[in-house]
Amino acid sequence: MEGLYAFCVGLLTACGIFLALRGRSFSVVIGLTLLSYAVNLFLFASGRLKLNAAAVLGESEQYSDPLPQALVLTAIVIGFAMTAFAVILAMRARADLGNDHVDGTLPVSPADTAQQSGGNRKCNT
Amino acid sequence: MQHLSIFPILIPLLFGAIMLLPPISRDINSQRIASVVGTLFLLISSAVLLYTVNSEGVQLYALGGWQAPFGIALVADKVSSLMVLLTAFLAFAVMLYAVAGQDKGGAYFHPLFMFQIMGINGAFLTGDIFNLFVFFEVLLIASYALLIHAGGKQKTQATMHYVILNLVGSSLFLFGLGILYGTLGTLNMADMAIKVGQLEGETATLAKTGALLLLVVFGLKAAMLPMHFWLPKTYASATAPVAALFAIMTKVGVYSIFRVYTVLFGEHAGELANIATPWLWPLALLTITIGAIGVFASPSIKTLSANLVIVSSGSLLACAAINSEEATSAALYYMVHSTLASAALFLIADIMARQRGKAEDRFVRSRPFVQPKLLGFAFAISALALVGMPPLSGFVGKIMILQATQSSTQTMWVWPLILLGSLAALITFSRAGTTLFWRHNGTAAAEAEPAKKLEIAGVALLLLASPVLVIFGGDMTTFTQQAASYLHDIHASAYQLLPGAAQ
Amino acid sequence: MSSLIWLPFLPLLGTLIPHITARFSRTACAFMTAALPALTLFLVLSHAGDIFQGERFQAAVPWIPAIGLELAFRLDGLALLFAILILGIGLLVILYARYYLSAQDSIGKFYAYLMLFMFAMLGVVLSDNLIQLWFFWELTSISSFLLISFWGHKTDARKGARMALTITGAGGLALLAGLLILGNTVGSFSLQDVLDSGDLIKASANYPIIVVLVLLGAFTKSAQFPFHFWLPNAMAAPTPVSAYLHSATMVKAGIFLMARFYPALANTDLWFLIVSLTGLATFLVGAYIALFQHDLKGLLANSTISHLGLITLLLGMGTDLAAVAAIFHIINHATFKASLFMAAGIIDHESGSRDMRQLNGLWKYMPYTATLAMVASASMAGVPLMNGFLSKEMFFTETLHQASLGSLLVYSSIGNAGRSLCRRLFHPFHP
Repeated sequence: MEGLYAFCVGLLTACGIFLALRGRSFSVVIGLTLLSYAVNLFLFASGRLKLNAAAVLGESEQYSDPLPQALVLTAIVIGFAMTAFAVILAMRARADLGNDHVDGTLPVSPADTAQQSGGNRKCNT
Repeated sequence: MQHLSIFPILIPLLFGAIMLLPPISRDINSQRIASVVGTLFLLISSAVLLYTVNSEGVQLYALGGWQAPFGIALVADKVSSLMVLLTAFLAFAVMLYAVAGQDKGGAYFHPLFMFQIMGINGAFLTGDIFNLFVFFEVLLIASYALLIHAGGKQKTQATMHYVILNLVGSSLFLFGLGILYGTLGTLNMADMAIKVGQLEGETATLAKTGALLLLVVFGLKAAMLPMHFWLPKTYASATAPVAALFAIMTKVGVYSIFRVYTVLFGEHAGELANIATPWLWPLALLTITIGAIGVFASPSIKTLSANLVIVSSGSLLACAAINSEEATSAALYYMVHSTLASAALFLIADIMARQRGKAEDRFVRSRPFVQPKLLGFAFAISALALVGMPPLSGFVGKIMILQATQSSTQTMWVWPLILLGSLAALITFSRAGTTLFWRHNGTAAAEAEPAKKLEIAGVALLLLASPVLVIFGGDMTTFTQQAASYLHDIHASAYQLLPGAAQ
Repeated sequence: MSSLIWLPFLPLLGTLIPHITARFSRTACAFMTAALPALTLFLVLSHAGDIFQGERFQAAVPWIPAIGLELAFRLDGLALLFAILILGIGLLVILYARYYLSAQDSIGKFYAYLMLFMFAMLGVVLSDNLIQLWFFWELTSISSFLLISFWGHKTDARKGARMALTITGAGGLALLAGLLILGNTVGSFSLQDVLDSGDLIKASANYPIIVVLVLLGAFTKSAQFPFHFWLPNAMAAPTPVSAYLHSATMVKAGIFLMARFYPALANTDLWFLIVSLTGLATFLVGAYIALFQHDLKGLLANSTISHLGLITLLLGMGTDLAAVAAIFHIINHATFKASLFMAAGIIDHESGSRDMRQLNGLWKYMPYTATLAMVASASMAGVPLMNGFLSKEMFFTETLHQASLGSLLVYSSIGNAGRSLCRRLFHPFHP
């Protein structure tokens, strides 16, 4: 179980960081969301992974650490609010700046004035 | 008073919440009055708190009566209460400036301002590292909204970078916290400081990873190289009162570095003793260098002051890297000085920009000022303070930092950089001053509005702090020395905060 | 002696007076401004008798012990000499400026800056604490920046002021580093302790660093080669400023620093090499550049550089009599160079030009100025019966004892330079 869990957290983090490094605000917001999922899972694991263990004493034979659960709850709330803000800001930036690039300007390289290459460089002008 | 320690968090929270409610939320004038009264209350309670801490010792406040390490504790010691008083003073002066008209640019300026102060004060006072994260988020979300206050392309663009960077930073913060909790099993900073010494082997390596992740986060807040690039643009594009209030934001990062890497991972941390030092040294020195180059290259006063913030961050990080009582004392003095002086410069830059028409605050020939004498005087004072020339407070802080270096290797690295940084600031300020005040054509713009009385009062308060810090420099440095020795004494800063802890 | 603590602050108080009295007539403003320096001068002079007896007055109040800073003043022979120069010439300059500045110039602002400078300079010479010495040292840089850029609407005034501030500011930072190392080596920032532990300092491994850093501060302030170039550019200042700062007082601050630390730092090979060679180079470069100047004030500025080099050379030689000659020449140079600057200012003021190629036959129109300028120039050239003659003779005697330097070179150059300077100076007065 630990291996699978660690793999999930790692995959989510890797995807989150990759997307957060992209140039468009939409993929960045998705990346940040993935990162916050990864963080929440990770925080949860910091109290050790246990099966059949309640966080309340006396409810089960084993008990688990309640603190990480409280932390995750806090982190989820904060992360949710921050994501909402980032989405609104991205929309505002799209309106104010005329494009959805995080720098506010589309990168212009000598090559893509003539031929538009795929992925991030594709301009919608 | 038993509840004194929580006032600096409660007062802005209450005032901020009240201002969101109907009777006040619709009327800007009553919001202004409420804000000024609120910051004044905050100033008074912070001063009383500092006085109490100074006379009666550390104030430990267990939230909800849950004793540490199980509950969340607020710790008002000499360091945190000094920072809280600094925040309150800065907030009061900046609020005086803002109510003169700068707060009209967008909605909810006053509540956001209050929440931001609440976050800053909470980050200073808290004794729990997860709570530190929570207050970081409080101050950040308020700062996101304040940064975009009054709108405009530049602000949106700068805010976009700022928000994304800090969201990634928050994630890293939580990763670091998770690792530390997983290895230490506690989040109370005093408890962590005691337990961290027992770690060894793989667990210690894991904890080290977590601790260094936290350094990245604090470094991002403190504008440490290579996480500094967001700062000049962000600060230069923000509205003046917001930029002035942000002068303390980098100090929150620096303060956290001092807290975490002096108390938690300081001398007593066993295998993890002084883990940040090898990283802090090169980064601090590079930060000063990059800041000084930025100062040289600044085309306008706002950019100049933003780059000076980077230089001062670098100097403070160098103090953290030296990691001695003298250095911490120097850093505390320098923190108070540089926060107030750079905040004043942001405000002055705004008044100047409004009087120069299209030239704004750039170093180009333009129309003369409407109030050349007043602005010249204010500019000269803030320039002298920031360059670190006598007779203003910069020179005391600078000499304290220089005197804090311990070995000749440290001296050889720190002295030239700090002194050359001052020289860069001196040259840029003399160029700026001569251009702004003497190179002009035509007459003063007819539509240019002179600075209002409240604005002048706000700037004057901030500027007045500088000579006061020099005249009462003896008392001030005695206090910072006591605060520094408290921070370096694990017995006082950790064991005494946990009544049941075995020594 | 508690009055010593307040003594240097009298001119600081004096910065307020011109603001208050500027609305009265210019003469009233000038006289009321002069009152406080006159009082200070009187107070300083009242101690002169005791100081000639070999007494030394000291007073100290603790200030910021964490950085070794205390408010400490001392009045001894060297401080007395400089204090009299600063206050005496300062009073004359106040009087001169009353008639020199035109009606458009704000005389109140000018006097306020001037008094600020006087305060800073007085603080430097009376300091009994290393950090405090640096404190006032930087204040002189700041106030001289304000004074040089007094006509801030002129491009060359702005540029000259910035250049002066950059060079002296950089030197000030080097000086700070030097003084901090010096204080840490001695273990005390009190000047008296430093002067008493000369042997300890010279034996320390830090000695070369201290000497180089302190001398960097002194050389930049005193416009020594290769930092001499700021002084001619600073001549964009109003002439009273040139007469006061750039001949009589501020450029002497570097010389003062060398003289002050003479007991603690001098009399080593390193000191001799650096100081005397720099002095010699400055002396020759200044004289050489002066020969090609057409601007009256430029000529005087370069001749000042040359004389400062001469004094530095004397201080570097390391014999007691050479130091005496250096101090003596400080007085002489302050008197004749300040008066020559004032004469140049009068010519500029009356004829509207300082270009010697355009000025001719002024003897006919301004005989008094010509006579006074002639006396001062004769003194500068070392004509017998003048004070310059005495100091020059002392200088020659000392160089004869020091065979190591190319004395011959010095000989010939000083004669040539003096003579040609005189000839050129009198060019405007020729019919």
